[in-house]
Amino acid sequence: MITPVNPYSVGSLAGALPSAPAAGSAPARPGGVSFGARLEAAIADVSDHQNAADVRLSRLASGDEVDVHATMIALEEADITLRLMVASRDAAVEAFERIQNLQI
Amino acid sequence: MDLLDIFSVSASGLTAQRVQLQAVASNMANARTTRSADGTIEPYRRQMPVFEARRETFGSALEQAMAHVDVIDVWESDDPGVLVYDPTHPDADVEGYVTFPNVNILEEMVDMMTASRVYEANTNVVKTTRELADAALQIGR
Repeated sequence: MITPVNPYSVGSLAGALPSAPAAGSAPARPGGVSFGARLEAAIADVSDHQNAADVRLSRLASGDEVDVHATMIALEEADITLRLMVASRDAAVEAFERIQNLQI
Repeated sequence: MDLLDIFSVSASGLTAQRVQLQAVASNMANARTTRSADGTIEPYRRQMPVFEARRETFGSALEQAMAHVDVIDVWESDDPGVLVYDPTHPDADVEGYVTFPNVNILEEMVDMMTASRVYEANTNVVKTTRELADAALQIGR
């Protein structure tokens, strides 16, 4: 059996699936979790990656970290997760604007 | 196994090759060292890092199939040192022979080139992974 591959580790996006509701403060609805809760978790995840990259950078600067590549990779991860979040935000905002512009 | 996990596998490969390069640097630097740190006459012995594939024991079958590389040990070569007749050398034995380290500069050069190429290959994996992530983020633009 082939195991399905997760495209990204921004775990909160898995909450988009109705079968896997993410933990959040927003009330659970029949369709899944609210966009707000999802976005909140995504931002927390992005923030974690940013902090990890930050820690790596300061350790490299202070001489504790010996691997330059580990720092660069942490930076890359932070960059990719941030851009994924921005892309999801753009898509959501675009959808919202389309609905707002509906002629009644 | 997601895209960001590829980064960590590649990072372990990069670390392993850095250790290999460190060993080469140490071997090259000590290619003519005839004494150990405490001053006794004991030629330096070639350092050889040992790598091991580390697999995750949990997760999906695909995740378990992917292996990180770990540097588990650094061995010292047991090859005999190079005997050179040089009675004027301060570390020569009673018969005038000096034992130089079992480091072969040519071998070290080859190891260095291999380590450098493998390191480069691993950075290319990181680069390609990044490009794929970029391409995926462009979907729908």
